Amino acid sequence: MSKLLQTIIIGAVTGSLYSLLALGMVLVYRTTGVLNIAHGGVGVLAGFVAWDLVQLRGWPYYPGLLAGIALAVVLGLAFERFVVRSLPNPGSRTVATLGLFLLAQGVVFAVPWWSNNSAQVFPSPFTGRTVRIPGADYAVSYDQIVLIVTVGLLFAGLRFMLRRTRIGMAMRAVSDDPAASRLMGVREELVSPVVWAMAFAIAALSVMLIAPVNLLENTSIVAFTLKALAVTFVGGLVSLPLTVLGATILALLEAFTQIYAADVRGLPSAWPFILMVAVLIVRLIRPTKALDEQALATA
Amino acid sequence: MSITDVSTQVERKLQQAAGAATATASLTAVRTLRARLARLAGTGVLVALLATLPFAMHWAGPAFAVDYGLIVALVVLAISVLGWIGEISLAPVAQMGFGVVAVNVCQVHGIPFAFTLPIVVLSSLPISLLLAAFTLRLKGVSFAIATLAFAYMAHKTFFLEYLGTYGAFGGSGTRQVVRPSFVRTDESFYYLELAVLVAVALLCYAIHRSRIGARFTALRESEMAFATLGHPPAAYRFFAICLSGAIATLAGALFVYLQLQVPSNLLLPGQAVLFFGYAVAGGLGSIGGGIAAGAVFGAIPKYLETLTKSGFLTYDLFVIGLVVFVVMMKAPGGLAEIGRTVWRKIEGAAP
Repeated sequence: MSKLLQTIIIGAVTGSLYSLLALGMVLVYRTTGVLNIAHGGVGVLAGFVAWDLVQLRGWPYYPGLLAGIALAVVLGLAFERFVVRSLPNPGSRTVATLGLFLLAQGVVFAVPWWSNNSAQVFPSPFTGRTVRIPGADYAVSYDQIVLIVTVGLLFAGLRFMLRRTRIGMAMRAVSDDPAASRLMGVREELVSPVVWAMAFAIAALSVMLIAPVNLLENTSIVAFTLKALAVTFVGGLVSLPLTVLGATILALLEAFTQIYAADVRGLPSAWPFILMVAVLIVRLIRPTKALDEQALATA
Repeated sequence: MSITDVSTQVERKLQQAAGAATATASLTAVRTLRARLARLAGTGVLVALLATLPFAMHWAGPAFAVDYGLIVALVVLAISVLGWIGEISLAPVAQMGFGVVAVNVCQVHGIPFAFTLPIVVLSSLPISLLLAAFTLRLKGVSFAIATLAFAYMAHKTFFLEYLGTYGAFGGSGTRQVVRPSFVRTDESFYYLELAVLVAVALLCYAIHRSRIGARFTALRESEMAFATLGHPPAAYRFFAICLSGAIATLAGALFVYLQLQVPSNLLLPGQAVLFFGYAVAGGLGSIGGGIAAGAVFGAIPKYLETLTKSGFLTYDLFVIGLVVFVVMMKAPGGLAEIGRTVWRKIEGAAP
């Protein structure tokens, strides 16, 4: 029983990690039609800036965190103003995010005191503080709890914003039909910067919350982002609930196979692909259009 | 005005028009001659450059750099080929890995080199079939994500075990592929790679300019119209996936012959994102642009690495990222577009 509970907790934490990264990508795709490949790269860059300020320059934790997020917001606004607006369609914008990803990775590797030690310990005000789970021979760290709570808040916040607020509905309107939304008085030039600034801020926050749990390390965070991409497929890149569900299922499958089927080497790593195949089969059984419409309705 | 005056004026106008026509004809002839000379000179320079490249670049570093550049060119070409049907594949690095495996299996079974490369190409078919089984119904972003997930699975479940951390085919640390005697040096190996690249590029040109190539374009523009006209989209998509897979697998085979051992971390799925960046910088879908971008982005960083005594390694990703980003922004058609513009200027044609 203890082992089972332990597995579920590990799955929940890892699922939160995937969800956090995936939600930012879904937000951008849902509202702009652009697959933001730079999501992980921008997050890592902002994370290293925050780490530099807090760890090397002695800034207090929260101002350092805010500075990292502020950098991501500025980057998002600049990217929207100078790149997104000058490109004609979502396809070319997606490709531009690839360029930004390479550039962000390049900056992280180019600063000598960042990449000298490839994995950095990211500071946290909760370091060393844990909570014992009754019935399980396992303790959850405060950082892990913060991660799970943040995913819940972010999910609820994004869902509320997209469904209930004027800016959220404007984002959806611009994405669904730019011409009609313009006629209805929605100003795309005001909506688009908000989307990009929010997405980059979420990317930065994600990495800063993941790093205390899993170290600030470029390769592993990019690998998490790739897995998060596979998770977004479950929700058709538009549905927030299905994305979180997909992330949780993937993480639980990985945790269960790592603990209960450790002999089957490689299986935990095959789950993202197996999950995609399963989704594809579901889509074959249920027509894709219906699934997408359902996803859009529940976004 | 008398009839004589009118006829004189008409005659004069006709003479002027004839003069202008003669001048235009002369100008066209000069331009045609200039274009022919430019083409001849350009071909000559290109052939001379390709023939002497590993030796001509000795001052900058060993021939390994240009050898690696040609392999990257092949991978980028594999990505570009899928651009014909408007899809982005992030699986070519994984397909390269299967090329590495195929070469090792051939060597273990003592198959002569002459048969190895054809076997490698054939071995790509089952992998392409597996990939196609899941991706044929997908398009756009979903297609790209599915190929990425496939690459991730292949790396974690197979290459990590088979190739090992040090690329010694099982982790013994010493086992490696043996290059055929006629390509023992990196310089001689370059000519083998060049021959393979030229053959693949010619094949791609032939397909792209054939009826199949035209149908690829039609499929990319409107799959519904394509299907309505009675063509099977799945068959054409499958063909493009197989062609791309074969090229990538071939690149993997050459890669292991060049390196002799391929550690599994050289086949990380993230590497495919970088190669896709090269393909975009070259002009997605362009054969020449793809090859040029692959060769340039593959070889130059290696030369700079040697020239700066590995100092460039710290900045390589930043410089490559910056160049790719600038090319994407300033010339959306990539190096292919830049090349066409420059070539038109050299030929003297209107841009």
